Amino acid sequence: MRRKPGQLVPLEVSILEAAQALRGMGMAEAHGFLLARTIADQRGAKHLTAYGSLYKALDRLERATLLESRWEDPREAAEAGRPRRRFYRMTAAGEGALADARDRAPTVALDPLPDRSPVS
Amino acid sequence: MLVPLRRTIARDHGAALVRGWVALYTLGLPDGLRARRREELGADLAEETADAVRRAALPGLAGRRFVRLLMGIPADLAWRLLDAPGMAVAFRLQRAWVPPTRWTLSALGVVAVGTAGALVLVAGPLLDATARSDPWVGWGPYGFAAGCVGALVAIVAAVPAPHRALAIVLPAALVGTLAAPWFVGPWLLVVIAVGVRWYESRSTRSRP
Repeated sequence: MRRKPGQLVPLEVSILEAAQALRGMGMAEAHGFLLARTIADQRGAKHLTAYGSLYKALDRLERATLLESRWEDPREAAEAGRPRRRFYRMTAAGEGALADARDRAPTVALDPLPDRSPVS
Repeated sequence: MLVPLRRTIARDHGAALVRGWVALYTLGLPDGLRARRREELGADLAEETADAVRRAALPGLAGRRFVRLLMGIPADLAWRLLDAPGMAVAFRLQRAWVPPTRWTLSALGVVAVGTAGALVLVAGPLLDATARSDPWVGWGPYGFAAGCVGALVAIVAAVPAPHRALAIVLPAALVGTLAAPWFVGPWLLVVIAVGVRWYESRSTRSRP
């Protein structure tokens, strides 16, 4: 099934909603796993979004300039003893696209995020 | 055989399976694009393990990873077949062009003159219809001339597009060598000159 140009699929809407929710919690940027975890928490899902689906959607959102990304400073990652993360930030265009998607599907409402401390 | 495999999967909670799959479907992509996907998945796996430790959910992590992997395979294949080729072109265009060194230019110049000379020597009699079958065998002179033309194109392309040049020179040299096996030495020199140019453009390339 071909999608209309510029139209977001449900997973892409979920990613933008997760990015917005995290920003509301003081995290302007989020890495892929944190977005997947946030989506699962919002949906109350047992499983996280599949690797392939998540990163394909992130790629597409970035190419559509709805998200922008940057690599973490490798020194920070080395100090923390883990691989460096790629951080995604929602752009103004992303906020607009999310608002449009919500207008088109006003019945879509996700559970609020559970109260939890940010993943460090 | 199966027991060590099972132990490995248990030790890293299935992360090696995910890494292996990522390594497989990113084969053939430009280094930067492949590294980005691999690093990003590597970071995801590390975060997933840390998250499982925090939630005391380490048992069963390998199974959950396997489900995440399987469910994402169609998207991975779609990304590899439909999205990645376009991104690869962008990556290749972004790649900084590395100017050839004096020595590489000299080597390319020498093999260009030699190849052009060989082409004239072989193609001239062919055009005059005076080519003799001895010492050539059958399609020999034609194959040799075609190899020379391919090699010349590759030598010219080696400065702006070393990767493409290498892809041209290898079959050209093969055809030329098959046509004239006694001429293998000069063909080797052509391949080496283009190969050196390809290597210098690759080794000094900055990673995106």
